[in-house]
Amino acid sequence: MDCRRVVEKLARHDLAGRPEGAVERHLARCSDCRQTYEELRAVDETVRLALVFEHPPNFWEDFYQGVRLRLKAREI
Amino acid sequence: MLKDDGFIPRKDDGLEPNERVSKTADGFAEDPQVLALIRRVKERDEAAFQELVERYRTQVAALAFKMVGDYEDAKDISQIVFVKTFYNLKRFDPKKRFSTWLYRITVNAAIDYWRRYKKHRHEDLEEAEARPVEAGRTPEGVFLRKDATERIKKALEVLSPKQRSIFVLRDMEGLEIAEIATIMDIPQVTVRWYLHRARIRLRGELARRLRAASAKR
Repeated sequence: MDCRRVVEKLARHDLAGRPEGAVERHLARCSDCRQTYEELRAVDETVRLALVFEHPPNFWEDFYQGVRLRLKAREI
Repeated sequence: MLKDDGFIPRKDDGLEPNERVSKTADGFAEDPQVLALIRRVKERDEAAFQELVERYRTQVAALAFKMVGDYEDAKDISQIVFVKTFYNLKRFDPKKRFSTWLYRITVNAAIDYWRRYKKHRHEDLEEAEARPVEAGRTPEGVFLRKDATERIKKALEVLSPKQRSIFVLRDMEGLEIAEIATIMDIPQVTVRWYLHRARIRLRGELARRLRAASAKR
C-alpha cells in the first residue's frame, strides 16, 4: 500500500482502534505516515477532550424559568 | 374488559391503552411515560411540560454546546428548542423516536443561531486562553479542556452547517448513521459522504492549529 492510500484511509476512519493490518505494516516502516498518524490521533484526542458537557454549576438554575418567559413572549 | 359506564378502565399509571405498546418505525419502543407526557403537554398540562423539559434538557443542551462551543449560547438555543417543541408537538409522530425529533429541532436551532450570530463570535484563541480559569476546579484540567474546546470551536467554523451537524452527531454524540439520516432528512449515503468530508477538513484544520500552537511554545 502506498503513502497516499494510507493517508486517505487514516483520514477517513475513526482512529480510536488499531489501524488495519496493511496500514499498520506500512506505518511500521514509513516515518512520514507514522507522523501523520500521530498528528491525526492528537487531533482526535483534542476532539475527545472537548466532548464533555461540563456546564457551569448554576447552568440549570433558571433554565425552566427562561423557557417559560420565552413561551410567554412567544419567542421562537 | 369494559366497565358499566362503557369506558375502558385505565390503570393507575395514567397511560392511555395505546401508550403502553407503541413501536417506532425501526422497531424501537418509545418509553410509555414519554408518550403520556407528550399527550399531557398537548392538553396544555404545564407540569407535564416541565417534566419533559427536565427529562431532555441535558440531551438538548449537550448537543447545542457541541454545535456552538459556548455554554451561554447553548443555554439560549436549548430554551428556544423547548419553546419550538411546545408549539410544534402536535406535529410529532408518536411512531417515531421523540429524542430523534428533538435532535432535529436542536440541530436546526443551532444552525439558525450560528448563522445569526456568527459574525459576532470571532474571538481569538489567545483571548479565550487568557481568560481566568473557573474557581473550584483543577486549573490544569479546566485549561486543557477550555483549550481543546476553543480549538474545536474555531476548527468547526471551517465546516459547512451540514458537515458540522453530521460530524457532531456522529463523532461527538455517537449516533448511528441511520438515525443521523433521519434527523437531517437525507439518505444514509449522503450522511457518509458529508462525514467523510467533515473529518478530512476538521482533522486538517486542527492539525494545522496544533502544529502552529506547538511551534509557538
